[in-house]
Amino acid sequence: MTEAQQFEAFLHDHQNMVFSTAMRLLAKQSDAEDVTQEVFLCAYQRFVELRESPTAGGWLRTVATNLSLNHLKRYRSRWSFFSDVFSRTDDGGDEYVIELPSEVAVGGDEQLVATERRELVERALQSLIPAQRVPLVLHHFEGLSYEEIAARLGVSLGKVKTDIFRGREELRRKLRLELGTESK
Amino acid sequence: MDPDYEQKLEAAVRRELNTLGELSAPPGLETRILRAIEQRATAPWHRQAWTNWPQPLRFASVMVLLVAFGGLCFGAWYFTHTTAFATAWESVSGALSGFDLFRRTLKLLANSIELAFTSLGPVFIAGIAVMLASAYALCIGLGTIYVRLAFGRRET
Repeated sequence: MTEAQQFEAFLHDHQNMVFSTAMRLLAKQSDAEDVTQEVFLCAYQRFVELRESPTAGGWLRTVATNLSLNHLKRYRSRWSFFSDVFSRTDDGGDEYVIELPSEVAVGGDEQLVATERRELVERALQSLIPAQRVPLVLHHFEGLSYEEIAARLGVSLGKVKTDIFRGREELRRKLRLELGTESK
Repeated sequence: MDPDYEQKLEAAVRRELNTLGELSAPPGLETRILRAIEQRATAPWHRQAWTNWPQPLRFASVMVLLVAFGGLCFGAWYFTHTTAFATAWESVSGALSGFDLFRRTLKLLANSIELAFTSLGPVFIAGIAVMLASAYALCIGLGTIYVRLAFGRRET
């Protein structure tokens, strides 16, 4: 297998992971594609090391996260003092609630319901404002602690906690999550 | 409010997010990346990053820069030892003498401020500082309230 073929296989194996990381942070497909391309251009330059490395996936994920955050820093006004005030999304505002699939309507086809459900959760996540989505994604998908997120984004620990809480609240509202017997 | 609300909320959201797998990259992305890599690899050396230049060219470019820097240093040293430079320096010094007055005024102002501080005492100065900080915090607070009231989301 030539080096080019090896890289092609490497790209094929990891492109979904890199794209997912970028897409969940940026919530815009064209930006996520640009970042994915940039990540693999970097990977190509270091392919001799990465080819044999068992931590290549982690390296790609870290680079994808860093490039996505750089992209956000460069192109969006973010983490401003009043960031939580402007909570409108790009695709029509804050008030939309996702229509959930009815398990009865699909005749109990659990797999179909689960797939639809995942798509809805993904859409709900991407509809969050960046100030809420980014720390939430870094916490849940990248496994960063609140302190690490605060340091990474250059914001206070309190703001990270507040934004993550509000992000979860938004998801709960949009997905109509049941929390059991609690009452707010 | 349920005291465990936050934990329940976190658990519920985590449960939902844990169901998510990887997203599928768009079909054309792989081709696009491979094309970009090919374009970058076949680009002429002068359009690539310096680290990707051929070894002799990198060495030559460093030598050229060193020679240019050396020449610049020597030229500057040589120029400062010419009579033309001495004449020019004299005329510039004469033109800049007006700034001396400005410097003396600034010094006088600084001395006045220092005198005012020493005669007013540290308690008075600290009081002024606290007042200014409070006024600043008040402005920030009022601004926040105003923006939240004006642009905040209205719960339905």
